[in-house]
Amino acid sequence: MLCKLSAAILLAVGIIFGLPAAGENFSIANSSKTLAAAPAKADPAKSDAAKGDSKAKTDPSAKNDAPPVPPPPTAAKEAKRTPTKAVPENLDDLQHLQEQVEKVVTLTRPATVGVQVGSAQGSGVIVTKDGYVLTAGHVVGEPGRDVTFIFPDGKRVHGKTLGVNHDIDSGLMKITDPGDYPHVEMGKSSELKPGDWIIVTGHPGGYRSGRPPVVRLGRLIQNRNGTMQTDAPLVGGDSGGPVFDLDGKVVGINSRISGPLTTNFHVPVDTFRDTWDRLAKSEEWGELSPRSGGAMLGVTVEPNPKGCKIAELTAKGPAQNGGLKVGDIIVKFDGKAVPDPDALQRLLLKKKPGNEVKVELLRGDDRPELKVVLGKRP
Amino acid sequence: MKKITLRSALIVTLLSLTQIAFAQRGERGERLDPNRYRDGRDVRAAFRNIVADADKATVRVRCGGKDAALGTIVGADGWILTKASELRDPVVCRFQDGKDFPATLVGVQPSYDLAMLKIDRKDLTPVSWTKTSEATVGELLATASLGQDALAMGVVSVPRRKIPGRNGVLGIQLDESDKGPKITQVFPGSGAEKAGLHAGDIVQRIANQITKSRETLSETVRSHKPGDTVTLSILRGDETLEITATLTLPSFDMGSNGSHNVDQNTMGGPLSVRSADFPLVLQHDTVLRPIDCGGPVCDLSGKVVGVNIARAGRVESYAIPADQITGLLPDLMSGKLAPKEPLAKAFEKKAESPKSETKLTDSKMSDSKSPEKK
Repeated sequence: MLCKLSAAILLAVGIIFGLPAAGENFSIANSSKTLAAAPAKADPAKSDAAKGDSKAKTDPSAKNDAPPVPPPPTAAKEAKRTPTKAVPENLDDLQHLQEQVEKVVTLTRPATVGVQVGSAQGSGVIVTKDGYVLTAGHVVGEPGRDVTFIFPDGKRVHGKTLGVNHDIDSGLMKITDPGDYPHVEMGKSSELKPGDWIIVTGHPGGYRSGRPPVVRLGRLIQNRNGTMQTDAPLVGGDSGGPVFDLDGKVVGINSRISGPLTTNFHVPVDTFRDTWDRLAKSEEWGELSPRSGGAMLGVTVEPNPKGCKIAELTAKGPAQNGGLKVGDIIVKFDGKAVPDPDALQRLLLKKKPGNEVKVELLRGDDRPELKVVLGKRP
Repeated sequence: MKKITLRSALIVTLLSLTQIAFAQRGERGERLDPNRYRDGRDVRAAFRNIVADADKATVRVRCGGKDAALGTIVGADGWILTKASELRDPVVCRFQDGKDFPATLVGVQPSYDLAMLKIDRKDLTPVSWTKTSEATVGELLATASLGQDALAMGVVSVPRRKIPGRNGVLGIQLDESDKGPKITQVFPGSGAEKAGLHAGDIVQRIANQITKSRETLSETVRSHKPGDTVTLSILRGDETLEITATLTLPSFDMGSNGSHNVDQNTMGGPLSVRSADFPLVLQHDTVLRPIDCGGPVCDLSGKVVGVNIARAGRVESYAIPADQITGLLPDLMSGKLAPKEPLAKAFEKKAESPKSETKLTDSKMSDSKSPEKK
């Protein structure tokens, strides 16, 4: 119920047994804040060269090195499609639209996959022959997790999550089973204008055998830096599924919704290209937004060279109950270093109310290790 | 329930206003004129000629003075097809010109939730059914209305398929493990809890099926109805246990994790009460209200490809394909499928407050249990 009141809802679903879906229902509390500009564009020429170099150098010792990061798939060439009218006016216009939609469905369906990460289910789209998969950040969660990919015919392959940008909700995965995979081209989201027709697919409610990706048609309502809004309806399980233009190029990734059927939000594909190196190197960055009902520690922290310094404690909150004191510096949370408040926030968001967490502190010269039972955010 | 929806609508309105304010400052801030949205006035107008014939074969079905469904004219001498579970006495059919005609219920086909109404008119124009039994995903569709334009447009989302009845649930959350699906959570009040399943249990068999993956397990459960029992073979530590659990509706408390998909599906509008358990449907993405089911849906040639039968989710509406309907018409008209109970009695539950929704689904499920067809 609470989630209904929030601005936008992310669209991954957990597998609750026998139920179509349930699960990670956290909201983006402040969507304007999460829409910070994407990091500066990588120079594709430069990264190409860099990749060439590093490959040459690292090949002999490739065993213990991370695999070289490939360049992002190049942007699609100039759009050749016949421009569509601002509004279809007659049968000819509609027939033309229908032909294009049917063509896009045929072209793109083999590359649209269901993804399962832990107990969450979402969707994704393959963009390279060797199996890089675009998806939503909240489907990835964090780098290095095991993923099962499900093709429309039910075939399954395995892989890993790579990088994630929580700010913009973009995420990358890679199929690790060797093979040549059907894939689609990445288009240019910056060229999309309000009124452009788009096709979205994905697995609403999670993958169902015998049901190929579910096709929907809509129009671009707004294309702001950082997010695209369309009137192609989405629901839980569609997260990470692709948005195609009428050329069949992926231009966005499904991310979140709010109440009305015209408020469906997608991550523009350009951000995947712009941050490709970071995503492919399994970097995790950006800020997750806390949600009501999520885990709560009950502290206000400030950055400190050694970790997160506790500035305030919620009276009778979980941290205080666990023995934490104002002035303590949290150096590790749940066994992981917390160099800054963002890192602590991210770790906390992965926990559930009631979880018991080990917290390592710097208190004067002591390094006490306390246990805190997390509370529930009101 | 209603209050909450209203509140959420309010918040969202505020949000979109903020977005407009942002947009005006942004570089690509232009927003599409709502008249040009997919279901906006301008786009629907493009379908005017396409739906013109089907519009003439569409009526508004009203029950007890309220809109209940749309109806599809299937015979010139007063035969009107509509969605059965939305009906209650007294039924009238309203035409484009605003005139009302009292209707009698002459046939009900429960597995498709179709009802045949008869009115005293001999001058009607029936729909023109498509000859094809194919449906191409991506094909454009338009739902007819009593007005001039299409009620709404959509595309075929999925090839024709059977929609299973609402299944029972065990009430567990799963992860994969080397030895099989592993229970990570058992929900309080669920059949799983009552049967004594624990987090950490590994499910090796269910109903004599080896559970290699979570899907085998969840599909086996989905093939059962609430009230059914299933026997699971469980690995708990080194022990193997046989546990029999009774499946339930997903009505237990799933905590902060729970039932949000149900909420998401109702975000954007109410759903049909009877929205599952159909032998064959065409799934499309047309945005309909439950009271707009029962009417004809056309392809671009203006032929009727089916009759809308359910608003089933935020992204899905179902239509019964034309070839299925035409096969049922003779029985629906002949009295062979005459309702056993008078309408008011047969559907009186429908008249209760929306609170009874779950109950209704319940009774529907036990109803549909006996004539289960595969």
